[in-house]
Amino acid sequence: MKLRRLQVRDFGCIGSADVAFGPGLSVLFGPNDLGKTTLKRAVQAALLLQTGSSAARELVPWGTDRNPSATLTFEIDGRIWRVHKVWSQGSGRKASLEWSNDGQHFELAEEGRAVDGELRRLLGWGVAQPGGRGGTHGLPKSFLRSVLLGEQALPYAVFEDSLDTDADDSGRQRLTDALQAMATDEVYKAVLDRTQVRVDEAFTGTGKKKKGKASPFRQVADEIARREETATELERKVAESDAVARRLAELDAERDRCFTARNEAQEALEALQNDLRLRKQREAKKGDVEAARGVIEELERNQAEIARLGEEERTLQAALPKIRGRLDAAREGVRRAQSALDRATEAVEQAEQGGASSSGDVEEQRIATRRAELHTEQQALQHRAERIEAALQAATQARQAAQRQEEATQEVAAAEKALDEAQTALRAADDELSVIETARLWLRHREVEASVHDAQTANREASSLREQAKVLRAEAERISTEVDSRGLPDEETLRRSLDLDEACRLAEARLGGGVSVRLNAHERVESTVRIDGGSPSPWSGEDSVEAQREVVLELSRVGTLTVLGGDAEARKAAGVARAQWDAEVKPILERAGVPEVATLRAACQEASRERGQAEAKLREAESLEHRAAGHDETAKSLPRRSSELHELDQAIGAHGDSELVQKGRALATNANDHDTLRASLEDRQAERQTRHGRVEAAKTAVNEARTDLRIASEQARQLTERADQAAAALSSDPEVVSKQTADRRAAIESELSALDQALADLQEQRATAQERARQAVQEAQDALTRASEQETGAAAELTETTEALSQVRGALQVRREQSSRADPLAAAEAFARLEDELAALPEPSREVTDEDVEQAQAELDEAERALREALSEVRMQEGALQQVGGTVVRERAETAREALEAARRHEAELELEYEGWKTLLETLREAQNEEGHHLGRALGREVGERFGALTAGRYGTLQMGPALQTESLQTVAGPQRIESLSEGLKEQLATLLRVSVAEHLGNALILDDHLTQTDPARVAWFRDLLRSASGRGQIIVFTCRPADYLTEHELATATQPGTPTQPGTPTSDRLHIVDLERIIERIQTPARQA
Amino acid sequence: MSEAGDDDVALKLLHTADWHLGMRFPSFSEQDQRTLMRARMEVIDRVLGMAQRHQVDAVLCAGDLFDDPRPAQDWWQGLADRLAAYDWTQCPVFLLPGNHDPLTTNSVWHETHPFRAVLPKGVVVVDRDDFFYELSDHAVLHAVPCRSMAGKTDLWKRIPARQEGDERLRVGMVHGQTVDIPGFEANFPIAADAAEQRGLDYLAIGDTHAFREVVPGARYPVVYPSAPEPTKFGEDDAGYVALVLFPRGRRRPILRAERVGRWRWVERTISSLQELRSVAGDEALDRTVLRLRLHMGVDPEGHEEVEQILRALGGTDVAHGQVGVLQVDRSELDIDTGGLQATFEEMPEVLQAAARRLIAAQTGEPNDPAKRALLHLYRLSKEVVGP
Repeated sequence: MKLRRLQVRDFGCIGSADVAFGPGLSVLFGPNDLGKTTLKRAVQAALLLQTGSSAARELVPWGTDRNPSATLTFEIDGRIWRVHKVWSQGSGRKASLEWSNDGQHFELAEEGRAVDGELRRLLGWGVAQPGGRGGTHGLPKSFLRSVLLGEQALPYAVFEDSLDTDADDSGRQRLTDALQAMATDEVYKAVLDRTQVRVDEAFTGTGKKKKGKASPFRQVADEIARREETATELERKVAESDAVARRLAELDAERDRCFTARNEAQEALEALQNDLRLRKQREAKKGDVEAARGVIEELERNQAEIARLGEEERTLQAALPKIRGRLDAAREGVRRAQSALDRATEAVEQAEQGGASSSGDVEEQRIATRRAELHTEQQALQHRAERIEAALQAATQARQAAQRQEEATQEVAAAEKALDEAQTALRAADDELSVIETARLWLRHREVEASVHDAQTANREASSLREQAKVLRAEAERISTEVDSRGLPDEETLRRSLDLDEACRLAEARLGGGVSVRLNAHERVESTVRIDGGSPSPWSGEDSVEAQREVVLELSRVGTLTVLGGDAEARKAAGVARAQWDAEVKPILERAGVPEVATLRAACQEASRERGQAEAKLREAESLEHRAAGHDETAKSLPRRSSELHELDQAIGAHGDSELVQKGRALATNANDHDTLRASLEDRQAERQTRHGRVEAAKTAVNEARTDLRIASEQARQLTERADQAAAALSSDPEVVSKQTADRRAAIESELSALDQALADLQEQRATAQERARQAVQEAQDALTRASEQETGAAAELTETTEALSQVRGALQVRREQSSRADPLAAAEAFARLEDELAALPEPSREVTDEDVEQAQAELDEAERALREALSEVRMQEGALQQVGGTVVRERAETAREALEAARRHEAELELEYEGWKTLLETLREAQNEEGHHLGRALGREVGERFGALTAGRYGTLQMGPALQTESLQTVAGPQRIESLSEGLKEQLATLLRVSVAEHLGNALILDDHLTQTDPARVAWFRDLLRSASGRGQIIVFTCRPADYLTEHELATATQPGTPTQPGTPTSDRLHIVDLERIIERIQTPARQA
Repeated sequence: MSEAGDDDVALKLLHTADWHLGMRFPSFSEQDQRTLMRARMEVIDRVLGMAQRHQVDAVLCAGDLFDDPRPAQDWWQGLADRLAAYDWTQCPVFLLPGNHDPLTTNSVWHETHPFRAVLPKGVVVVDRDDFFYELSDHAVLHAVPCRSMAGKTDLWKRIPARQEGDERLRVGMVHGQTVDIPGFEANFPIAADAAEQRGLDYLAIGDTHAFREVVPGARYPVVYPSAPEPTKFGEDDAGYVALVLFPRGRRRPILRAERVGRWRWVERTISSLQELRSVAGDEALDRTVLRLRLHMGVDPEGHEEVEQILRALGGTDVAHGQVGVLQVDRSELDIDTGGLQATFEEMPEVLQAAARRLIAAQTGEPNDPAKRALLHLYRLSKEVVGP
């Protein structure tokens, strides 16, 4: 900030004043009590004192009720500001702040209460905002205010202040920026800039991670989210698959158990059936053995009877001669009776021995033969019965197979029906899915339409912004070109020109002493005159020409007359300076098309300002382009979105079925978000998957059922063939044959019984006939007895014996014939063979009944039912396993996990990378702040060096804290506290500190008789310092001792009549001298007037 | 293994499987994924070309030809286009659905799918459980497709057993896992002697990605031909097809593993800079998927060389890399920053101060931002100042 002009009215002791300040050193001098300090307070008040402040009462002119006012014009960063304030405790207060680029035309920026806030923001002196924290009712304090606008009474009060007491950090920041800018290293700056670029890629200005599309974190986070979703879904499927697999394993075990149970039941049944069959075989064989045993016993009984009958025959044969002797003795007596008896006996013998014997033997033989035939047939029938049983068993199996075939056919039909139902349900689910998919497409269609609209809007916005940016860039280019075309010098050349111009003016000023030229022309001469290097002006020659150092007369037709003041050495020096000026400065002025260096400087400043404007436009253009680039991100998606929209149209159209499409559209309208539809879709997909599983299971069941049917058919065919073959071998229906065989066997049994009965009857008849013969003999004997008493007994005895003998012989004959027909050896062999066969037949392990077999069959049926159920469940789970994916989904889950881990590694690496950049940026700033914030280190060194120069090396570095709190001064004897210094040293040191700060800030510095305790030699040193420092900052000195700051010549020039004091027209850029007595109009109070 | 002359060969088959067309590689970058996916399709040209070159009698493709039952059109159209480049009328190609691409109603194999319509003549899809095809008067092919992604069905048992008196060459084709593989879930299990059980002279199977004769030297071979290109790390025996020559007289077929794959998948753990340099010295890496695990410690200068080598291997925005596809795991790369303080001595004071602060802030933890920041500072400083 630099001051340009101050106007005050009714301010303290000043009635009115209008002061201009030069850009360099301004020396405003006047006697004590003139109002110099009041002017300084006016500057302070204009900048910092609110118009309603109670402290403003002190500004009211004594003895009046006038409202003090001040108008201060100042410049900040190339822009000119003007603040006008009227202080009042009533309604008369006013405040306005205006700005201008040319210092002529001002525009209102703020007014009223807002003025002070804006002023404090512009100044950046660490002063609190009005009403804010640290605000005061009077003139606010801050370190920079003390430094730049210090009080006269305590010129070194600055030692007691520091930045730590400031209300805000603006002062510290300004100083930090200034000192850092001074100290910032190019390498450091480059490192910082590149680090900042990397940090900006990933973090916001507040250090948070960026969340926008361009953020690297967002990209990797989105990728991780996608991969997590995929991995989670696949893991879910894997878990589902595992659960199904576990269930399947359980069911496999259950199926195996059922298989085992079924097999065990079948084996048990078969064992029982086998035992039953064995038992029946053994029983049949035992019957055969018993029959054979009967034959043998019969033969044995026959032989015993033959032996017994032979013995009896021999006994009777031996007794017969005695009986015949007794009979012969008696026979004579009873010849007739005997004859009758003999005839009767003979008749009996003939009946018994002849007819009875032959017919009985034949019959018995026939019966025996028949029995043998029947036994043989019985054995054949037994074998046939076994074959029949086998055929019947085959037929039963064939029927069972046919039944199973029928059951399988029914199962196929049932499975096909289930498949039809499952497929119908699946188609319904597909339709529902199509509706939801279409709804999703419609929903997506709406979103994409909105995106397309956004993208188109963004595209237009981007084009518009780019057009604006293009206009701005063209404008900036035009300004730059136009400024460049002005031929203005660069900063260094300008500084050189200023130095040369100043040197030239100083050299020419030394020629000053006054020149007066008078021309007494004999005739009128047209001429022009240039006074002290000024512009030519017509001159009539009638008046004398007065100049300080030079008069140049251009006399028409005569020539040029140059009159120079000063001594020869000064003229020579001025000539050299002027020649140098002509050689270096003049061409620059000509190129720039300006008459003088001040104008050139103003032009350069204007050019700098315009360049600033051009840069601002470029920055604005960049900002617009940046915004356009932001829109590009959205607009870039337009082709893709349009394509997607087209694809969605096609996809919706591809559904074909307008009813589904309309349903989907209606659903999309109702659902209105993807989550609802996705949930619905997932439900439907789950339902569809379930239904699909059912279809697949049903298909599997159909295939299995068909396979079972095929197997059953094949078995039925084979068993039928086998049964047919067995039946064919029987040449008739096995059941008929079986019945016939059974009948035949029963007939044989019956016939055998009949034969046995006939044999018994035959023997009984024979006994009856014998009995009748014996009765006839008895009757004959009775008759003989009656005829002859002795002969009767003998005859009877002989007859009885003879009859007995005949009976024995007959019986013996029968037996012998029977014996001769029988084959004992064969019977024994048959018996032995049958016994062997019986022994060869295995013993059943247990006693088995038909009930046992039936129960085993029931258990087998139950086991087979359980097995079928287990197989059905296994098939269901296998169908489910087919749907969930098994190893495929496991492989994909593994791949997804690897991808997720890779993305997470990438994220971790990315985070580490950017955290590293962020940490680096923070550390760089901390390090920089440590260096830069230790403002005392940078500033103290410089102040110390100057103080050392001032004190011929007796003092060195000023030790200052980070907040510029003054600590000590390094001396040859060591650190010395400030308080211990002399008053003169303290005010000199304070001045040096204040000058240095002002230099670095490029700010105005007001010094108000700051060197009252300083000796003239050091005052002279300071004069040179202030002149030197004024090249970089503005220094305004209020003093009652102008000689301390001005040469005698400067002072004389300033105080001589005619010296311009007009406000706004400094005497020069480097030095501006104002005699305040000629400026300040003190207030006329009644007391003063009196 | 003895070779037979063409006159002695009764039947010549090319057996391949597990193409996995459309397979994605989500662990890799988009660009690398495209490279690897394209490689899957490119190898098909070599498989089919080899079949033509050897004038085989048939090409058996034993399942998992697509990675998904419903692949994108690019994949099935691409396959159809490649098949259409040759005449298969005298050399039929049999495409078998596997567990990755099972035959379902909405799969690419279904008769209603447009893929079926664009297949050239001579290319046959196995879409029946009782599929058989008379390769010649003396040879027949039986095949059973997968109808689901998982199952415990013994598909091979659906191949009918050899009938008594049938003296033809009988070839079978199914997809599944042989039950002799330890630790594998038996998915569509196949018995090691399945060929013998069903009376097959050769059983062509697919699923495992390595070339493998299940029972080496078996009279009736059961063979995995491997995936023609590896699909992941560790599949070292992938990249082949099986050329099967049946001598006359029903003798054991002759097997030849023919290389068709061009890509290698290599994992390496690098434990020293020298080892990494030697990797960079290998010139034959352009068809290699290389995963490098950097398990090593280096100083910052060495780290710069590491990154330089990795850039040379993996390529940059302006130059192709030496390696076809490169994956680098730096999680175990330890950079020793202990000696860095000295390198900042010539730097401006503020940078030295920053370096001091970062060194003091290091925690020694693996992912220490301060350490990473120090490395950033080191590299940036060198960039700015120049070598």
